[in-house]
Amino acid sequence: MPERGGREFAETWVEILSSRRYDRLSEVIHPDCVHEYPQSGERFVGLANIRAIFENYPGGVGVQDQASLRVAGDNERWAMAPNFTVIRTTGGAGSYTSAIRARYPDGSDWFVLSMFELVDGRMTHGTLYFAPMFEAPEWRRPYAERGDMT
Amino acid sequence: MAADQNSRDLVARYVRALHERDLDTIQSLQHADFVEDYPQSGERIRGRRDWRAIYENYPGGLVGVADVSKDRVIGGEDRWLMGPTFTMVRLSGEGDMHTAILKLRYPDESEWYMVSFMELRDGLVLKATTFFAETFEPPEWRAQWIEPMPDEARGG
Repeated sequence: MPERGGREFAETWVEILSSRRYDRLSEVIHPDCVHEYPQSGERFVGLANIRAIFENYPGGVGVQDQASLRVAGDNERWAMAPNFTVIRTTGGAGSYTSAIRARYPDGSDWFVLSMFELVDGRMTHGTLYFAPMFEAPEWRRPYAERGDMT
Repeated sequence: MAADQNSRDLVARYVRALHERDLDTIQSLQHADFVEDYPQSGERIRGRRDWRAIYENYPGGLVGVADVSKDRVIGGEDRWLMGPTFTMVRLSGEGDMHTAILKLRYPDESEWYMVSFMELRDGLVLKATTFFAETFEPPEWRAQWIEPMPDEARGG
């Protein structure tokens, strides 16, 4: 398996999800990969279970906005939009954080935040958080500028 | 590296002060050009004064924001344990880029994860990009493919 940096990994990952080519998941997911969703307390162990989630997602998984992809890790630092901070995670080589905006079948937009580890170019562990858009509250208006940060 | 340790210490102090709602300490750790973004709502808070105003004007106050019953930091060699009443799920980072994950409990009992990407400059926090993600019930349709995470892995 060729060495693959976080950016290249994430682009392939998004391409697979966007095209729903789940038969290609093994290109980016290690057979023993573990995914965790702390918000729901769910843990998916192994490629087969991870793939089953994607294949059975009601209405299909969301469409990722590849232009919004931000990845940081190793010696890469990606700041494709000035308003977005990207982070290199720690834990040694192969640890990354990414953020991407995704649109789900119901039309809702979310940020998907991932902390993941790569070994030989494939994800061995991922911790994912899902954060929906929300309206800026009126009470904060005096103190906050507003705009699209993606 | 000493510089990495210093930056980790800075982030740890910042997050601890956030937890303790010690606004003076937080401001002392913020760069003069500090900015915090909330991409979910498209809000940008520019400067320490407006940042503080938000915390001081938070409806209902900020009492109860943090779950003080847990002390949790998980991770590898450069993630570390905080004091006994701290609510932190994870800190990671090196150099001038760090990630902090906290678990928040609001007065309405809802629980949220706060994921904050922090950029440092001159030994201070220059920018935070912060996301909020609420806990949710695992959906039934995928129960057959999952196992539950241990509580400690979720920050309690």
